[in-house]
Amino acid sequence: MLSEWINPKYLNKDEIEKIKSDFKVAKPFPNMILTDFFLKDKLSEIKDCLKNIEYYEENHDLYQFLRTINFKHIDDKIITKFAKFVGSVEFVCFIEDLTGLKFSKEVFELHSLNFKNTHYLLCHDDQVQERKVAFIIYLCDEFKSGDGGELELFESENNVPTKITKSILPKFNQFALFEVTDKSFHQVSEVLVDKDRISIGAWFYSEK
Amino acid sequence: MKINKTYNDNKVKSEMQNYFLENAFISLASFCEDNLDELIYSILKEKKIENYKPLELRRKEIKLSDCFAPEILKFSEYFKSIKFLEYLESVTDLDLKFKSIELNIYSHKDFIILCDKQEKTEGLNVIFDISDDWNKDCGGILTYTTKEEEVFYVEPSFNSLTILYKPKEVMKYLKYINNKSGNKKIIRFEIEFEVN
Repeated sequence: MLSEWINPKYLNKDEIEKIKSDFKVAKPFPNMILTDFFLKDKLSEIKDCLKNIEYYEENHDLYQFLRTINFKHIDDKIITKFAKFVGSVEFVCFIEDLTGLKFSKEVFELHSLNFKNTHYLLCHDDQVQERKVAFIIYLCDEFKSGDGGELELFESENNVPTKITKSILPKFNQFALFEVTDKSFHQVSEVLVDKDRISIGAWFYSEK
Repeated sequence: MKINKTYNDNKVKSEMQNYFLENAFISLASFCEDNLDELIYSILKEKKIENYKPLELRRKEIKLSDCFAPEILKFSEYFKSIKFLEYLESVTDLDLKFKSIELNIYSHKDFIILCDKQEKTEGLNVIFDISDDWNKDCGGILTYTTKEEEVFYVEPSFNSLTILYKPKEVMKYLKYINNKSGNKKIIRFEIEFEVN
């Protein structure tokens, strides 16, 4: 099943070991950025399909963006198939292999987000409800420096974020994952141009 | 500093008091009769502290204790004065004690978010606003909220004085200011009083 979705490059045992060891020592906290992660056609199909799915505005002190409901509750063949794949034991075990962490095989959250011009997500650590890792799959065309919309990771001292030490520009089929801890401070910088920063975001939870 | 004569008229003051008692806030437009250009010029010239705590706020502050600009001092001294305190007491019918004064500038990328560190105290918040012409789509709306609902909004408005009673459980945030704001700024004296 993995080979039906994932770029074969990432299914190679040596590659998995390398990603895992890089992940553990990544700064400012364990993270990985993998390009061309899914099979391109599969992801393009999901991207097309999301054009017909409704996004709702989320707007509060910490953020402003558009988000779909959880993919598990979307009545669409392609989205349901993708949600089943992401929730499958095979995929969860694959992410366990990439990270060296253990996750619940029953619970996960999956939805799509769209950050339009002026949308943002301010600094936070994601630490709620036993979240263990967060990952993002970018569906948008490549963002350039100055466009905003970067995923920014903060270095911290005594669990207080101090400065941004890693910035990731969105790019189609890029997979970004980080471990959720009391140090995983991150934000999405404001989108400064008229582009749709569409992604799929997910969390895997601690093993019970 | 001269306040708008209308707001010293006894009949108007009594209406203001009734309005405040009913709504727990009042916003007074065209509050000051002085020319504010010089004040704004002095503020923009003054050295500012870049205050950025990613989990709390981002803004520029003018440290009033280190400030010697006569125009700024004229206003800050007025807001700290017994005269102003008595004026507020007459409008609010509250027994007040001066607590703090800040002069803050908010522009693109600035914000205040709700956080546990925010003081949960009862008080009277007073905001004297000398912001640029503002469109609320730029963000920058100061929102007072309980855990359940948003209770009050302060939009930037040049030469306005907003007086607001803040119960213990109410917290505030300033909506992130986005790129639509361009070079515009929100400039405010933010004064707090304890309620005895």
